[in-house]
Amino acid sequence: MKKITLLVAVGVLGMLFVSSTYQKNQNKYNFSKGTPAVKSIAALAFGPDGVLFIGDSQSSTLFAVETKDTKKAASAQYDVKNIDVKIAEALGTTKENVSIIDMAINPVSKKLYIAVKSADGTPVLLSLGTNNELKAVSLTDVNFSSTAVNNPPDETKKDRQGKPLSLMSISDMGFEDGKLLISGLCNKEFSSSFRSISFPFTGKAAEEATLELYHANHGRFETTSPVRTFSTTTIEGKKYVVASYTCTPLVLFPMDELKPGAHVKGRTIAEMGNRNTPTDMIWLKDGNQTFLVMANDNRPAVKVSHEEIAKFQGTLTEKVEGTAGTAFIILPHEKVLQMAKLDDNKAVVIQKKANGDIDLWTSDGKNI
Amino acid sequence: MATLIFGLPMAKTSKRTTIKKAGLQLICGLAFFLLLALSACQKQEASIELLWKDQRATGISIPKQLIKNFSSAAADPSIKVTLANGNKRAILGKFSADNAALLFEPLIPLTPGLTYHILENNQLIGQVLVPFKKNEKAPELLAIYPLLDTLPENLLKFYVRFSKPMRSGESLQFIHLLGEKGDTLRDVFLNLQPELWDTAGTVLTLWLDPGRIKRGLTLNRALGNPLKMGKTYHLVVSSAWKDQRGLTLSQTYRKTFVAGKRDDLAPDVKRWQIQLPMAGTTALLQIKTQEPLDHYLLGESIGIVDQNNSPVKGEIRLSKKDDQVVFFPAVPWKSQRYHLQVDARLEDLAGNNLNRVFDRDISKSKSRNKSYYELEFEVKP
Repeated sequence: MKKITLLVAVGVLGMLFVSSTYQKNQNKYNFSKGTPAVKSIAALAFGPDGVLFIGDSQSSTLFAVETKDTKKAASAQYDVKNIDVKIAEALGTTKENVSIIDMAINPVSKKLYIAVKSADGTPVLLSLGTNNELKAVSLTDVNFSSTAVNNPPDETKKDRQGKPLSLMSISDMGFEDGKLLISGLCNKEFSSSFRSISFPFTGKAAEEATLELYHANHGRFETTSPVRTFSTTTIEGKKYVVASYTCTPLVLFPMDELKPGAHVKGRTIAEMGNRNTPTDMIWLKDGNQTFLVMANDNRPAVKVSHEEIAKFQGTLTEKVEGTAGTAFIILPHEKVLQMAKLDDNKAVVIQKKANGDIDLWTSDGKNI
Repeated sequence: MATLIFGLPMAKTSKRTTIKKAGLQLICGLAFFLLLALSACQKQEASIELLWKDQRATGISIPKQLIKNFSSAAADPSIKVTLANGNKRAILGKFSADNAALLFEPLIPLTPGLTYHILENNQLIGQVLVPFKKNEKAPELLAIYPLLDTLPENLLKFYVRFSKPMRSGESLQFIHLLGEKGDTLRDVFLNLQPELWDTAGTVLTLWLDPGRIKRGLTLNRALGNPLKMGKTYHLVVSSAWKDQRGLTLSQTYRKTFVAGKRDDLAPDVKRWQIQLPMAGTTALLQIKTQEPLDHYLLGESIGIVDQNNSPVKGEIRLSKKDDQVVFFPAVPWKSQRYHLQVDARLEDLAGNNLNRVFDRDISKSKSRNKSYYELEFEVKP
């Protein structure tokens, strides 16, 4: 009897503990329980405590979801040949009916999350465990919060004729210093949009800065092009956004200048060649050096050391033939479609091979 | 093994039902009707059925009679649904049960043309083929903007509008630009992933590669503008493109146009002409923009405010060439000054907006940073 009483007491205490932790997180991030109405998944990124950010272009909304995936792991090893076929089979269809949109690794558990879209537009969130098994990540009855990605129209634009604002298609997302950073493209006007939103979400509009760059191959001309992928770095104590564009210039924007309404001119530090779109960029260590590794859809992946980036003080405003700026190393991996940081030295990559197969693999820390 | 009965689509709501051919006359009495209903009910219980929602097969209903251990089946991993290709990988989804059947809902709709197996302890207990839809209307291409047949050689984008949401992420497999001799021009469009669609998935924004349009870029110097003045082009959209239901376009579409001269000027609201209405009337206000502008932006960039800076309600329509805007006021005009306000992000066909030209020579032109531009006009009695 005593034993039973003790067990009940422990059970109740346990429940109270779980409930208080749950309450704490709910309050900490202003989460509420429910089912987020995710219409599309354009980008994924992890925040603190296993919070997964989902960028939904179609509903112009950012969701923060508590995954409860907070068990620490040092690293993991993923290796799935024909990942597109495996995903299609898990979803009960064939590979031409699924597209892999983005992937992110939970920095705490090292679990891999993959965003997939079916041919009919249905978004799917999957996870890949360390056993390389695909599972569904349920978004039913989860703790979450959300915020609109579009700036609400100002007085002069406010619902003049009830016409919709342009849609922002999210090209990349990252979490830094308590802020969710989002780069995007508009579906109508040609513009470069870069937004930062404080997390926990406050419900206030996203702070937007316009980014402008000198195109080095350009010489005289200057344009606002849409950022395709970005990361952040610190140079001599100052934080920067490192961004890349189609035609692959690498540009630094000081983070303290990225304020609402600001028009920020970037410093182009490298030209990495045209007819290419960068797909992802991450920072990895190799020995005592840190490298920015960039994956490309039509060229081999490349890496640039932090030292080189910090050393390059100028800006490429003179005409450039081919490539220029900071020295970079060409890596032996072409057509890397997705890349996510696994730990300090390694990344997980989805690559289209020469024979057309799409494989997911873990880097060995040497080339990527 | 269960009798195989194909599921058939029902209206828009999700319903579990079996279509039966009841070749019976309605003159039967009530007793016979009840008997028939009972028999239908029994037969329904014995068949594997598809569930339909919005013309998509979203689930499989497996009748109780087929399952040995029905009471625990909803939570029991002994039941799984697989593709009928020999691969026994369980399809991801959720099971639920009611009194009569176990319901399986996969993460994405089932694919027409594929057969699915239902296994209990790895033994086949039933299968179902998802049929292709019949009598459904193929998607159509409704318009390619700009509608004009002469376009500037530094044209930045096309909009392609469809009647149904199309499969995204594969547009460049089906859209091609052909030269005068019918040769396909390479590297003309910007390959964007994700592609730029509107929320309904029916309007695609297709950019010509800005790397080829921007002067001085290597790509521009090597290949030049995608379009060259005086040449004829054909934008072709292949009938092989499927919509989200899996139906292909009703036909191949072709827009033929000629490249005209380059446009390097930002649209200038001061040059716009307004045909004034009379006070006290609801006569339309006609605005001539002097050049064709971006079809979608034009419709949403223009507004009118009265002397108190309050928006004037009304409806906007565009001319076919997108070079005229007609405003139909909801209330009569007053005798006062009004302002036409134009959002600075409005672009012309070459991507020049009200603040800056698309490709700005920093040694010559300065960009402005206004959010909108105004044009004043006065309505008189």
